[in-house]
Amino acid sequence: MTHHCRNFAPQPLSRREMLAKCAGGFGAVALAALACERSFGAELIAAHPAPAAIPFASRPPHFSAKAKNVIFLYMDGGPSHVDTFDPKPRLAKENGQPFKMKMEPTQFNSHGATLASPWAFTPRGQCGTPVSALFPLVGARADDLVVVRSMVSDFPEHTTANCFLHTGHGQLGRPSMGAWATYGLGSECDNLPGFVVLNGGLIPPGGSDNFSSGFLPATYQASIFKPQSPPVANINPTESQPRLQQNKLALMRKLDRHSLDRIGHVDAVESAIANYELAFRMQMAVPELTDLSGETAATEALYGLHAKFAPTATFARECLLARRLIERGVRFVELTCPAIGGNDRWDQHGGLKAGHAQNALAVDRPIAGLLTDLKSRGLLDSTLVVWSGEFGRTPFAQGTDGRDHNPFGFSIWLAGGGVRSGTTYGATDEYGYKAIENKVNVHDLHATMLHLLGLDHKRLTYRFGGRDMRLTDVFGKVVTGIVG
Amino acid sequence: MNRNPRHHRLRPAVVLLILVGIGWLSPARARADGSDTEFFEKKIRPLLVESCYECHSSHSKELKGELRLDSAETLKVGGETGPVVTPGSPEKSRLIEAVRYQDPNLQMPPTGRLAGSKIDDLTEWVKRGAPWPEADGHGAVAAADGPAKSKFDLQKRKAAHWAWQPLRSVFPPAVKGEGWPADPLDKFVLSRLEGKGLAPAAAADRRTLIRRAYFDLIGLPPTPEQARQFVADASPDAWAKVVDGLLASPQFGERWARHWLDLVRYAETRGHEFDYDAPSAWQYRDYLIRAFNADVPYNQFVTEHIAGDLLEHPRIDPAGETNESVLATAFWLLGDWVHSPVDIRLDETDRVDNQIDVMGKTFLGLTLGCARCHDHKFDAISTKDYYSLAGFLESSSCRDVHFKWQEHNRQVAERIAAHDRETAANVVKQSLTAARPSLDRMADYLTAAALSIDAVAPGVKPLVDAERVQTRARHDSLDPAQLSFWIEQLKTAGADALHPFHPLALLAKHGQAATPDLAPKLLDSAIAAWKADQARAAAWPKGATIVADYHSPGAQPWIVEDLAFGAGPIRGGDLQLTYANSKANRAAGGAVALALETAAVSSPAGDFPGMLRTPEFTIAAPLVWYRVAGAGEAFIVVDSHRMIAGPLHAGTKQAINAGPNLVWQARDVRAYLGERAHIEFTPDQRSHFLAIAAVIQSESAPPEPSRVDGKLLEAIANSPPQSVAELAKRYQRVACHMADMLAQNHRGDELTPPAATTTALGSPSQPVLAQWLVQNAESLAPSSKSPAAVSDPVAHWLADRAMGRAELVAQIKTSPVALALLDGNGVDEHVLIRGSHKTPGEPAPRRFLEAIAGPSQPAIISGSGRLELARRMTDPNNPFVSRVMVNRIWHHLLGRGIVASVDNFGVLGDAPTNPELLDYLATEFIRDNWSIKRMIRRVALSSTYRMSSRPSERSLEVDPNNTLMQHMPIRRLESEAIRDSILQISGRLERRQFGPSVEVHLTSFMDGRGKPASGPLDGDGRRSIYLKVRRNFLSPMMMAFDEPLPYSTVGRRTVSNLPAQALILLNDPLVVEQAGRWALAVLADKTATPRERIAKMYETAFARLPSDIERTDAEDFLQQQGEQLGLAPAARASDPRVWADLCHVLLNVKEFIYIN
Repeated sequence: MTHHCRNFAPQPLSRREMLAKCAGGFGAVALAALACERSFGAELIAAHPAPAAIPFASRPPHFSAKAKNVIFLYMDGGPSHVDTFDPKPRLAKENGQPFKMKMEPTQFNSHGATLASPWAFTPRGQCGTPVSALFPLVGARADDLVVVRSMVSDFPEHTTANCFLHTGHGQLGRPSMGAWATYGLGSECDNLPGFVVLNGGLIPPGGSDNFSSGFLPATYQASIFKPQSPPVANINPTESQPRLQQNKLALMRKLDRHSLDRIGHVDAVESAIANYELAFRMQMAVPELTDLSGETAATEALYGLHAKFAPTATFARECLLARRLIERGVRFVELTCPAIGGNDRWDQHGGLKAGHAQNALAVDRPIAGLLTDLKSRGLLDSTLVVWSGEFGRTPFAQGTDGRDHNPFGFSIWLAGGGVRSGTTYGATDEYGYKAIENKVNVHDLHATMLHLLGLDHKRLTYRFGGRDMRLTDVFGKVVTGIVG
Repeated sequence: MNRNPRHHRLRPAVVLLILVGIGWLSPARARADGSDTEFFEKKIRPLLVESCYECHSSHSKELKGELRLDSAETLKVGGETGPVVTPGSPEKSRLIEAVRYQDPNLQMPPTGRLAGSKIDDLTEWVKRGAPWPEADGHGAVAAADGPAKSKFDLQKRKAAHWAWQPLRSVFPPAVKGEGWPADPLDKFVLSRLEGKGLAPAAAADRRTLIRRAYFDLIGLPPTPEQARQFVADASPDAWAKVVDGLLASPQFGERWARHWLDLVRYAETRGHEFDYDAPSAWQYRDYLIRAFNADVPYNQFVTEHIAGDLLEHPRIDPAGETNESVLATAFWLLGDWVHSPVDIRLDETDRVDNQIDVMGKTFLGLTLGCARCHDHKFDAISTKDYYSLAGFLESSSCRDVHFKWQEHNRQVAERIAAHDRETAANVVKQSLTAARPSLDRMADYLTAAALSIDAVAPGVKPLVDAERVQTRARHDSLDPAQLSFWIEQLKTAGADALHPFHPLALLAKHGQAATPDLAPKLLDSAIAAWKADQARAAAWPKGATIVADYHSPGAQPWIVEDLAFGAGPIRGGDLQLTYANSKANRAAGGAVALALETAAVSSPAGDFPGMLRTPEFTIAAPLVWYRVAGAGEAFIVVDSHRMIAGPLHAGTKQAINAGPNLVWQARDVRAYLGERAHIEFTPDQRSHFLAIAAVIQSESAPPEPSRVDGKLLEAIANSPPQSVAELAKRYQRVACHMADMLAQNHRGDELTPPAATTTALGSPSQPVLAQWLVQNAESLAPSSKSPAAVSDPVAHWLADRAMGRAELVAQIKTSPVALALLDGNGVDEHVLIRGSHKTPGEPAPRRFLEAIAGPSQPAIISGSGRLELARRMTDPNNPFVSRVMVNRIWHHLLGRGIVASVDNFGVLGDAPTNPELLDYLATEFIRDNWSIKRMIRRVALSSTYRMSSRPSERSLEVDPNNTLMQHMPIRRLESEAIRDSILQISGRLERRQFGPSVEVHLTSFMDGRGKPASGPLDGDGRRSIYLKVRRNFLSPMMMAFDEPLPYSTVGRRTVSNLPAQALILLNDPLVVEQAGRWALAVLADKTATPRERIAKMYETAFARLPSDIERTDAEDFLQQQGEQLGLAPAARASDPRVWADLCHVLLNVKEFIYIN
């Protein structure tokens, strides 16, 4: 029972063969994925023939696309764009002076003076995209990135902005973008869930609802892998010997068979039976996934697996796991940041210099390592990597040495997966306060991410509460300027 | 009260509308030399085409904001918010504002700011009068060929869709198979089947049936005994007995309440960032369980949800303790709450949106939320309908209601109040009676006192020679001690121009007492000073407005929670037991005082909890002023935001520490100018005394009220006395009259001028002399040589009274609290254009949906009007409420609603598969007094419900989705039923009902802000409905088996299939633990053989006996496991580990989580 992932299993078994093998001849039955038949968007049903044995069986995209998978690097708390990817010399010139633009209400409403960035920017890579000294190693990968400097969000508070970034809606309850992607495309992996969150320690405000399937079937909710053993709930058998569980499963199959004979063959029940096969495979696949003993020392060093700064090592492990998940065909992987004692995520309302330096230190090497590794393995083209916080930070100070939330303009970057790498897109004003050129709303980002995956965000719908719901609600426009 | 458009930023836009109307009266003309045309064609038209027409022209795929910029006409008409150009005035033109990116909410084009030169061009164009070339002038034509703006026609929509049509009275159709129907409803089903040439499935066997009914009605499996009893019962009503027994079971309410919780997004925390508690939310859950068990008629149930706080006769539980009705209103309040929102009003509109969304889907099966930004795209619901409902909510606020023993406590409160009144009156009567001899000689005392004070220079204390006092007293046959007292009074009065005795003291001071003729000038000046003070008190700051005026009873809605503030303000001049600030004082029965000003006063002895709230008002001044005394808290609830935590809005809560006298206290509210608010006053928990006389909005301080006694002023000023003696007599007359009134249980307003002249905007008078009398009665008693001797009898009497009072106080019962609505004054919302609070449109007066209750509903006269709303909703002519509920019952019992989309009866919902049946059931439901239990009973006793789940071959061909109900569908159990079954089977189920929830068990995978302490793994064995639902820490097991996220109405759960389900049943510690527990129960019967044990296990888990092969397989397994564990063959049949494994397998057999 090894991994069966198409990305690196040269000649995968056919599903039927595999099921036959796994289930001792039992599982080769036609199964409906879901009991909630009508809930499926009509279009998806038409476009996608009845899914096969696993609930998140792979489904073709709306159109062909380069990106097959997504790694979403979630920078919890809102990194400051004017200190990372959006240089603003004017801030240095007017440092300490009253801020000249009209200031909107913010979370703390304690507006200070114009605040220069403590970090220098230098052109990086062939393309010369300026990156601040906070990201020396990611900066070296500048040619892989498209930096979007004109992001805007609708919300200035963490939870609402978070939720908006994850689900396209400011209140909890809607499906996460990973759930949408998995709903649209299924997964290429049949022994792991299609949507995995690698929890580095910081669960974003709003909790696991950020990763939920909302009104989509629970099938599409994220499985949260923790940096602990076991990484997934209930993955380890409780029996003292493997044989004891196998005996149980064998009896279960027999008894299931008998009761099916009594009540008749019902799709939903047969699906539930097949589900045990997947669960059983997951029991094998997850330990294999998290066992990093096969990785070379060079790879470990590349990611910073043994970095002295513990949060770097934590995030390095997440990034390496992300690559391994992608290799196994998992559709959507999200990484949350490691907790850094004394510093509240990227949320530096005060102590900007120390806080941002530590947060950047935790992720710089692992991310650069991930990009390098993906590229050298030929996986970057088919993997869309997105780096984003829920908003940016104000170019003026909060107090004297912090920055408040700023949803009016901030920077994110994307790499791989068919983006126009080595470029920047959009611009903020000369203070970096508000996006003024080629604004990209969170809905536009979602539309673009789906587009890169070969999904038309307007056609990816699910009927709920009387509406055909979308990740992008009634908004969203594909940002063609960042598509390669 | 209509809400004014808030947000000052937008006010110009409103003004603009008017200005623009004028502006267009003189249409812009192109300059004769054609330079305008050239400018337009060269600069403006290309710019518009390039940057605007994608969204604002006849060729737009989707026209945004209803705005077209492609002809002179459409430019003139403008968009949703009216014209966007004011010819000649770029500064007043929204178009220019938008391209300049001045307003973060209006930035065009949205993708990025235009180049500066282009903005300049547009500005220049508008400055020139926005000329549009004549050649293009066929504006009307151009407008007509624009994108067909499908006009919202409510009546047409209503006529076109089945759900709006009234209930039809239908008769059961004739059927061929007459033997089959057990209830008329079966004929509707059978008729459809026969129409397709289908026969209904055979009846299910008894064991299948009883398991089905147990889960459907109480959510638990039958015990082997219960199943056997039914199988053995040969009586014709055996089935009815089972159903009736289940309906009468206390577990019935637990099962059906859980269904209901799905509809109202029930949770016990607020979600958002820190997942704050909603501490008493579970009281609503208990309410539901009791209500379903009591079979409260559904129309009553709905009314309680909408307006249970407003019922004249609320539903009280049989024990006479609990006001059930008010508890239902909590459903409105169970949503997410955001703390510290930057845009507080946006947060309100989102919260209200969730409330309307949940209310619409739950009760009406309508997606009202879709009409927030535009008229509903499909259904007969206008944006105005939506916002007319928003007003009901904005007219109501949230409170912790004391819902138990309300009537009992009200009666006790009345008795305590009467006791206090009587005590106060008696104390005053006794002390004034004792003082009477002195009062009867008051003129003599005053005159003598005046003569005893030398005329001295102002500012120097007059020396009073003790000997002279003695002499004077002897001379006038006065009590020297009393005379000293009066002299002291005059000394005090001399220094205080507003003291009631000041005029006399003034004369005395100037030596006028010694001369017979009064100096009219001096008296005039004293009177003038008093009048001037009255004028000062009446001079109010410019622009001051009243929010609440408790000076004048009835001038504002009296909005209170519980009994602390009684039934209304305490009037100036009323006697009361003092604002007792200490427990000792209360124990002694209190001292008596006389209130100077009318004010809302919290229960003087702190006997009852409670809160006073003002009406809603729009914040229009930078400061709000309270006239308060005592201690407590004032909470300015702005835009109904009450989740106060985090950096913003902490200032809306303010402590009051004002001391015993009423003073003005200010609160800075400039951050909320333009917002709607009300203020809630809560007395301090320890001192319990808080008085509120008025709440004012004013930029500067309001004046203190005048301390002049109006009655006294009248008595002196109307015909001014001519001598000191005469003035003294005048005092005596007035004082004796007042003493008479005080001793005769007076009414407060007899001591002050009529109430009409006493308002928060001017207090010309206070009963100062009466207060003086009450305060000084003891000193006036003649034998004051020995004060203790006088006060002793009073003290004794008071102590007796205190005991009587303590007995009354002991009868007070302390009620728990629950979330509920509190009705305020009526507030109408505006239509918010495109759903944005920044673009308020026309007012939307409160009413129910036009398509149901008509366009001309009676206006709401007082309060929020929710009771009227409830009446209109539950009117039998509204077809939605009854249809939606019977459809839900059908859905839960038969696996699929007649309308499959149970929360959406609109155009995008599913059509009813059997509309006649739906109308029949709805009609019967109403006719049967909206009884939910009797409707469930009918369905459960029907032949339709009793069918087997095995379809016929033909049915699978003709109707693969079983829409005709040819057979019973196989259904997976809900998460709660799965967990509850496991607990029951293992013997762990704790049947105790109600009460606070058990904390959710946290696994190491549950993390985040606001993380609570973990609850026990097995939830103390309580049924799942008693597990706490924490929004940010939902139970993984419940979620895996599709318990819905608590954010909107989910009447039909998804049934998903995911590996986590299998992993939970295989490896979760709870499941493994319970399997072990079950095994011990199985082995407890030492005499049973393994075969018998296996048989009983099957009965316990599946309500049936195993087949031979099943039993043999199980027996083989026991051997196999035993062998694997290295047990001797003889030991295998008794080893708990082996049996625990078999138990575990049975919990994993799919039949365990499916009902057929």
